[in-house]
Formats: sequence, structure tokens, C-alpha cells
Amino acid sequence: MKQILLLCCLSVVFFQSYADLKPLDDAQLGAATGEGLGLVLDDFVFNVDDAVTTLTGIENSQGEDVVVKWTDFYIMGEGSNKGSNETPVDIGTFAHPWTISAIPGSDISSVNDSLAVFQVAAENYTDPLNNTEDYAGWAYFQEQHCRTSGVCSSDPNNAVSAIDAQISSMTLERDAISGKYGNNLTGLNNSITSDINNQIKPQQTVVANEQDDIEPAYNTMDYYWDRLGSGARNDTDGFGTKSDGICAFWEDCAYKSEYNNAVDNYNAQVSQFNDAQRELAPRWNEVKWNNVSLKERLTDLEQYESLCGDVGSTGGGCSDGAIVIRQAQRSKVVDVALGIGSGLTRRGGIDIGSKFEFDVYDSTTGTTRTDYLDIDLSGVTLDGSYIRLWGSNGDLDGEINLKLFADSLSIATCGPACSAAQVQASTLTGTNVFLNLALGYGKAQPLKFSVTPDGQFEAELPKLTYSNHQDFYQNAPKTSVFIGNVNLGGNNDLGGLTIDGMQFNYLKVNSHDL
Amino acid sequence: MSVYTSVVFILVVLNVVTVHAELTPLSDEQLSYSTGQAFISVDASSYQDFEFTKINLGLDVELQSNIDELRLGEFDRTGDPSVADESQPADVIIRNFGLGRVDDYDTTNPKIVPFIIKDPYIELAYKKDGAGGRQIAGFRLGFAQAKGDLSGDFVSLTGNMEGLITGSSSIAYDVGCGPGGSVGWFDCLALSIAGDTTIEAVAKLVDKDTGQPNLGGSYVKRATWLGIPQGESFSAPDGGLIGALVPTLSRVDNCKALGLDACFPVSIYQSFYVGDPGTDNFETGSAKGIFMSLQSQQVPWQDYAGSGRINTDKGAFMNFASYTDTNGQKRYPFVVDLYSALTGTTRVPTCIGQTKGC
Repeated sequence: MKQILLLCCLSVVFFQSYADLKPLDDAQLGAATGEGLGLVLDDFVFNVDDAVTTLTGIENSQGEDVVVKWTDFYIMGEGSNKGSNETPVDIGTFAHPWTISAIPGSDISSVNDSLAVFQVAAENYTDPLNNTEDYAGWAYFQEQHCRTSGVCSSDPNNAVSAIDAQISSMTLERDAISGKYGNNLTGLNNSITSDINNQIKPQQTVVANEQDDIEPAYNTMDYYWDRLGSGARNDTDGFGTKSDGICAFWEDCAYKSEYNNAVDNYNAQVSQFNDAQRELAPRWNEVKWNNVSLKERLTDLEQYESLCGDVGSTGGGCSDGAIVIRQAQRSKVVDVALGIGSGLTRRGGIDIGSKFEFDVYDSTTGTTRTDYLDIDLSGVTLDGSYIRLWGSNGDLDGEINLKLFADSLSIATCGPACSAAQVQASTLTGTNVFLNLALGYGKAQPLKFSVTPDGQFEAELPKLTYSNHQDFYQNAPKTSVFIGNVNLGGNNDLGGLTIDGMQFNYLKVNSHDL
Repeated sequence: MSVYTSVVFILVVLNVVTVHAELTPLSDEQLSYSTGQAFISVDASSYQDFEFTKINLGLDVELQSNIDELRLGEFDRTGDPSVADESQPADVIIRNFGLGRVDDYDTTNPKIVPFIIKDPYIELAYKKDGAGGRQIAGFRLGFAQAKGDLSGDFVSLTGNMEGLITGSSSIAYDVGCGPGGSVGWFDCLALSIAGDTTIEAVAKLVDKDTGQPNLGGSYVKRATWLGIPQGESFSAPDGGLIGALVPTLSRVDNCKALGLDACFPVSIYQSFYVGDPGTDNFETGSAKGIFMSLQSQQVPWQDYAGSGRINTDKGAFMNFASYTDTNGQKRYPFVVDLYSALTGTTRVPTCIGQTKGC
């Protein structure tokens, strides 16, 4: 195994005192308790280009072994050309170190308690150009402008135009809904609550009761059908139809009248259910306020609240919701655009890559084949990411927030025998890739992870409650995934992918054996 | 000191910070039963020029979530004859996408009802180039079983979405022949005679102008309408004389059946129940075969909820297709009552304190 590890400088320092940088000896490190450590890897290169790590124990559905080989792994500076040029990189800087620390929960708004929180955090940048989340937001709208307008120039203000267009569209939609009801959103909200309570819910109860009557009626009909004499049964058109012929005295006519009564009763119950539904269904359209149906009002209110927040809380203003979120994001987009426009450049990122081989049994051909996977990320930045852990009633609670931006992500699946042209034709490339994974939000919804005695894992984001929902919706980070454009082989654009603003009110994941 | 020992040492030092989690030791007997690694398996298969690798995850997932916007397959489709709505920039656009629901959402005691997923999987499709190489042709995320409420502002949809519309023909009479109805006298007479006869039809994504589920020889892309496809009709599963007449009377022509509209903008449907809402039994009441995929070219995905292949084109694809249950019965991933199909469905709340947009 050839292994090159260039470590020009590794500095581990007290976080609060990195102004005077001196190496620590083992004794000093041992005395470090909770003050926090700053971690900087200067001129760092990690390259394992022909080592093989083999993973076994994974099987296919038939129980046959699948062997996974991890054959390459590198971490270098941007411009390494997928690990071929050993370009050094700084992971953290003395001004912006990674930190490992124990901090009071009272210093974290989401935790807001005196308990101690263990935190591993990537570097932090406040200037928008170097702040990964802000820069990724700008990149998202820059790509969106390109796709929606067809103008794909390098003018950084294209992103501002794109977010302005989105805010304008949302504002127009808000004004149209508000104007439709004379700006009386509270009245709209009240009318819906009143109509649902007085018109819909009582009839829903009737429908539910009628529906409940059907199953016993059906079971009774089924009971007598099973016992119905053969002569009487021959006079039906099948289960559910009455025995309406003349049953001769020599035929078995047992339970004929009971069965026929049960059929009548079942049909009556179904009819009553249909009548109840027929009464309920039109109410959504026929119950009106300001000459607008209940269904239309409800749709309008829901749309207004998604743009402007809960009318009950805001009083019909627009102090919350998607418009406020986009307006706040706009200022960051403008700042990044100004920075780029004035000639500032973003710091270089990290290049990371790995290769894998999977020996899998092809159930169709009955042979074992090797799948190759070559993954390369270039220009990666992670600032603003963190993991926080704390103890709570015997459980380990935490928050994970990973902010990963990459200028490009390449995935190649052609094996080592492929020509350069084949590799290029088979490489899938994503540009402006941003993953913002946010799981856990303080004591309101900590991420819990545990392992059961039988070796299975369980992860949970507990159910959000009424008492903490407003703080959660206003402040908890959301998960987003964005890829500006995906391209196969250089000439086959597959477009963008956006998962914007994902949040869990509840999540529970349990593993089990397959 | 090497970099490795430095890192290890740092981690050891950090043990002094106060994390109070109580780690319960496992006994030898408990450890001997530990088999957690078996929650992952990898299957490989091939079909024509394609090779597939499927990573199965043994997971039970309960979630109640919201996504502000989901956009898949956002690329130029100019000139593609299968595009139903050329104004849509992406194959799939869903805003305020919600899974699960919140009952009593506007009270101080809201009840979160999760969407349930069992055994999700990830599958990669490779296309062989005939010269020893291959390229990624597609990716899909699927679920062996799923059940619960699915909501959204559906803007643009691409894929195979089959829903069963069912209900009493008297509902259709009320809508079409009642106050404000626009159905002609002959159709109203037919609906009147049909009375409480249960009628049903399968709805799919269609082109709004023609009611066709296919354009240019392929399924419609970027559809904004859902309906009973051209030439299809209602049926009466309970049979009988009236039931026998229903298919003839209700054949769809230009998005009309029995004088009623048979195609509707997808935006009027704000919530669907995936699976059978009438049972809490997940095994019997869950929908099967659901997946979302992205392809760089045509990919014939295996149908794990039935037999054969599901042919997909370049772009994004959502599969909510009919499937066969363990008793051999044909099932649909979602069922819509006739009135809702004709007038739209309201959204179930997916937030606490407000229905959506949290």
C-alpha cells in the first residue's frame, strides 16, 4: 500500500486564545477540559491512492455475499483535478478554526438551558461571499435565472433579479387573495371556522355514524347467506340480492326471510350513507360568505397563510411565511452579488474523492459482476456545520447541521478498463451542489439516537408540540438539497433538482433485519 | 505524535465534557443476538442493455414532514411532443409538499398522524455501451410499502399516477343535474335511473386539451390535468342491468362523461390518501410499488409491485400505479370519492396552527 500523508502543520489550540499560537505538549492537552479547542490543518494533503479496504458481511436477498472494496480516498485543495495533483489545502484557518468545545446550553437559543453541550463545529464566516449557506443561496438563484430566462451570463446580479421575480410573484398572489376579501383576512378566517363548525362537522358526524352502520348490516347479511338454504339461494342473483322466487316445500328454504330482511337492511344502510354524503358534499360549495364558497375560501386562506403566516397569529398581516423568508434571503443574495461584482473572490475549497468496487451477483445472468463507483467532489466548503450533543434524562440528545457546498460533484461508473472517452461519456456531473441537512432543534425537538438490545438502531425527532411550534417554525433550520444542473457525458443536460425547506414535525426510523 | 494519535488524544481529552447519557451495557447473551448489519442488502439484475443495482434498506419510517418546494427534472423540453403543458419548467413541481397530517391542528392539543414507509430502497440503472463501458442511466428511490396522507400544491406532474374514482351515481346526478349543473337531459335521465348504483373509473395524468394519457407515443410530461382518459369509461362493479349500461353511457370523449367533466386541473386535488384509509392494518392497507426516479435516458425499471417493466423516459418520473395485493386483487395507490373527484379535495393540515406553509 502506498500511502502519502503530508501534514505540514497541525495546530491544536485553545479556542479562546489563538492570538498567541504555541504547540501544546501532551500534559497541556491532558489538562484541557471544557474551554474548547481550535483545530486547524494547514497545507493538508491526504491521499490513499491504491489502498484497499474490504467490507464484508453485506448480502443480497438470497443470502449471497456482496463484497465492497474501498480503493481510493483523497482530501486535497481545490484544483487537484480529481486527486491527480497533490494540491494542499487549509482546513480551517487561525482566524476561522474548526472548534471542539463544551459550551453552556444557555448560550444556544434552541437549547436555552444550563446543561453543558458538547459541540464540534466547522469554521464560521460572516461575510456572505465566504459563508457557505449565503453563497449557496446566491448560486441557487443565479442558476434559476439562467433556467427561467435563458440568460446565463456571469453577471452576479442575475440572482438578485431571480429572487426579486419570485418575491414579486408571491406578493402579487398575496395581494390578489387579500383584495378578493376586502383585506379582511381575519373575517375570512372566522367565516371558515364558523362554517366548518356549524355546517361541516355536524354532517361529518352523521356520515361517520351512517358508515359505521354499514359493516354490521353487511355482516348480518353475510351470516344469513352462509346459512341460506340451497333452494332459497337458487332464487337469488348472488350474494347481496334477494331471494325473490317461490320456494317449493321440498326445497331447503332455511333463513330465507332473515336473509331477505338483512339484504333490505344493508341496502337501506348504504342508501342512508349515500344520502348523508350527498348532503355533506355540496355544503363545501354551497355554503358561502361574501359570495365565495367554503372550499374556495379555504383554499385561498391556506395559500395566504403559506405566504404570510397564520392569520390567527398575525392578524392578517404578513409578518411570517414564505414572503418574509424570501425577503430575508434577498439581502444575503444582494450582499454576495455585490461582493462578486466588486471583484472579491471566494476562498478555495476542498477536493474530496473516493472509488468503490462492488462485487455483486447478477440474479438475471447468474454471474458475479463488478460495479464501479468513482465519486469526486470539488471546491467543497463546510463552514457553519456543527454537531451538538447533550445528555437529557439518560438519553443522548443532539443537533446535526451539515452545510456542504461543492462547485461540482462527479460520479463515474466505468471501470478501470474503460478508455478516457468512455469515462467522459459515462460521467455524471452536478454543478453548484448544496446539501443543508438539519436534524434536531434544541429541547423542542432533539435528535435522539439509540441502539436496541438486538442490535437494531433507532433515530427519532420527537413529535412537535403546540407549546413550541412557533419557535420551531420561525427559527429551526430546514433541510435543503439543491443541484444547479446535472449533466451526463458533457452533452446531455438533465436539469436542476431542488428540495427546498424540508422540516419534520416528527420522524422515527427503526432498522430491522431484511 | 502522528496525526492519528493526536486526533484520538483530542477525543479522549474531550471525554471530560459533561454528556450525561446513560449507556446501558449489553449482556453476552444480548450481544449474541445482535444482527443489525442485516438491515442492508444489495441485489443486482440485468435487462437487455441495462444493469441494475438495488440497495434495500430494512427500515420502518414514520414521518410527518413538509417541504416548501420540490422540483425535479428542470430542463429544456422544447420540441418534445409528449409535453402536456409547455409553460411548466420542470417535470415535477410540488409546493407545500406534505406527508402525514395533523389532526386538531388549530387546538392546543394537535395530534400528529404520520406517513408510514416500510423498507425503502435505492436503485441505480446502468446502460452498457457495448464496448465494455457503461453509464448511469437512472436513479430511483422507492418504498416496498407506504401508507398515509400526501398533500401538496401540485403544479406539474410526470409519471404514472393511477387513482380510483368511486361513488354513487346519485352524487354525479347532484353535481351535474342539481342547481348550477350543466349536464343535458338525456344524461341526467340516465344518472337518475342509475340511482345509487356504485360507479368507478381510473384516473390518470392526461393532456387537458385531448384527455389523452399519451402524446407523441409516450406518457405525458409536465401534466397539469388529471382525468379519465379519452375512450375510457365508468364501470359498475356490482353489475346488474343498469351496471351493464354504465360503460356505454359513460364513455369519455373530449374530457366529458355522462355530460360531466372528466378531466380536472391537478391543482384542485390538495390531498390524497395513499393506501386504504379504511384500515389501520399497515400490511393489508399500504400501497405498494411507489417510487420517484430520475433518468438520463429511457430506462425500463422492474415493477416490484406487479410484473414486467415500467418504461420511463429521460427526466423525472413519479410512480403511483395500480398494483396487485397478496390476494390477487387489483389495488390503487389512492382512491377518491366521486364527489371529490368532480369538485376537488381540500387539504388535510400538515402543520400545527395552520394547514400548510409552516
